[in-house]
Amino acid sequence: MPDKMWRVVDLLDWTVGYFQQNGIPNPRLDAEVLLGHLLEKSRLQLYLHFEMPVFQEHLTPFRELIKKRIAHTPVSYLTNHKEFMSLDFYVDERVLIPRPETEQLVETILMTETGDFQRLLELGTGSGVIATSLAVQQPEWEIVATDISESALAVARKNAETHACAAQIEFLSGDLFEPIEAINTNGDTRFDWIVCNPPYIKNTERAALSPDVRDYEPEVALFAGDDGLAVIRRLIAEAPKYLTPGGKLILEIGAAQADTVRTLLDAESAYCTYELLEDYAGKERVVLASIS
Amino acid sequence: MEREAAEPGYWDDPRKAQQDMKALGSLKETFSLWQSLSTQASTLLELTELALEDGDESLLEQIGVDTAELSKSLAREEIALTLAGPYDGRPAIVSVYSGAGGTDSQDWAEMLLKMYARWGEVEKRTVQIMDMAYGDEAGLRSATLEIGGPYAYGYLSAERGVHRLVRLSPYDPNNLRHTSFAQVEVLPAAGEEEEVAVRPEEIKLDTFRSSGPGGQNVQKVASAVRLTHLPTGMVVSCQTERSQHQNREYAMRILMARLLARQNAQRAEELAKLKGERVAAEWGNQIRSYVLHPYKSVKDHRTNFQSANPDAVLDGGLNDFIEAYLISRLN
Repeated sequence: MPDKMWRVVDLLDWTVGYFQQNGIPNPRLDAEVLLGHLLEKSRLQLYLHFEMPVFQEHLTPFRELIKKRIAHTPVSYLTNHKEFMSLDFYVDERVLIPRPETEQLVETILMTETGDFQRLLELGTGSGVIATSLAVQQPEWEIVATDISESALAVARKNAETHACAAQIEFLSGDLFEPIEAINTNGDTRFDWIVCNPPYIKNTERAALSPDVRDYEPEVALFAGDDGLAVIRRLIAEAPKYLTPGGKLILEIGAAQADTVRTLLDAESAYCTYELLEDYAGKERVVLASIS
Repeated sequence: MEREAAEPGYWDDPRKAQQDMKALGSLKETFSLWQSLSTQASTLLELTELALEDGDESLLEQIGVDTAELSKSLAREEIALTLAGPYDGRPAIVSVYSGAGGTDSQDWAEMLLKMYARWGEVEKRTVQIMDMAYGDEAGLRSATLEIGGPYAYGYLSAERGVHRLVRLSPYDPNNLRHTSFAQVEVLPAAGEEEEVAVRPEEIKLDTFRSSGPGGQNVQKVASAVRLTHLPTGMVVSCQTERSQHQNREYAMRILMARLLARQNAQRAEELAKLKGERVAAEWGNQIRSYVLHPYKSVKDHRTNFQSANPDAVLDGGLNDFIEAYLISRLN
């Protein structure tokens, strides 16, 4: 970035060109979001202040952001923000960046469940977006959220606090149902709902992933063995033990996993009904299974 | 209305009661505004008499300034009074579409978007990006804003039509003069749910960037949603850096506004047919030219209102143009 008098519009133009040269896929939006973040302006405000000069105090950190983006650091890790269910969440390298498809897990629960009071368990909560957006919508529900990663739980707690529902969600650390087993003696270990966005990418897909995902997001949130089903298999097998009669298990799965997941569900006699729901791209993405 | 509100049972229908209260509030506001203008006018008259009696020159000067200001406010409020259409008080959904002609007209669409956003900012209105589709090289293919505040639709409805730009092209290697076009669509936001009847099964929802596995495999800043209204084939897409949930909400609001406009257009056509009239197609009319070269001017073709300062107009200085149009519509 040459030394000269920079205005917002010059900075954006220059950055778009630089991102393009370096193979960053959506150069203009990335440039606008990063500069807007740094100047504390919305995209609209950036457009309104194209002529505004940008001074050294912002140019130096902006250079740093550009350098990191060129190295494929995800934009959300640079801004520490990602919106989910129209709510703003904090994210950093400790957690998976929420994907739009995952909103369908939340929407399906909210549309299916009409009961006032529900006990819900979320496994592998990560940034806590699922538990938090459910808590915001359903203040009467009691939610327990677990994660194997202590550092992810710190992010999830922060997000629950931001949206004023920390008291409604109990965060427990441990692998899948492990922390629930630990409260076995004094607490209620059965839930009306178990929800999970488990890791489901095959180890063999690693090379084909974009570096933004592969090199920056937590492995534990992405990969699940050679067939990508290691965690899903455990969930389907273990969940019935933790569900109340009529309780439901709801999972996000990978784009090509529906048939195998059907076989797994068919083999598990505890489930009386299940369905696979498509995402907006027409891929079977959400598994909703009930026990009798 | 106040008497009615005090009756027992009035709040049994809370929705109607709330609507009435809102209407009452705005009536009161209008009333106190005109009362204050009328007080100001009579004060000025009294002062004038006094100043004439005393022969007080400096007071007369002050009265002159105040009178000019008052007549300006009066003119503005008179225009607001013309905004009595059923939708004039609603938020406006403003879409800008670049015309044929590549980068130049895409840049022109972006300049127009900025003009409306600036107008909103100066007028202290709420402005929200609902959709933005970038041009290939620069500018915008299309974009949609929602602009709120008093009589947003009433005012902005004056902007509907084709806007033309003449300038030396910054994108032409020889810097030649180019003419670019962009279409501006302005719709009132749809209000009550029953205003437009849409059943959930009539809407198909998908994402138009859906190749590849999606989910955890892909991570992007933007999310995109496309709604198709099956009975009419109407399509609305929204793409922003906001969540898919939020984009779907924007897309739904735009779709409802378009369906409402369509419904009203059909009604107007039927009515005109009954009366044996022909409806002039307002759509596609060139309403205004912005010339940056070889001279500087903005001219509205409907009112012949003109400005020699296109920079100020493009920076949101639109009120004179809007008001000239609204007055011309009265006559």
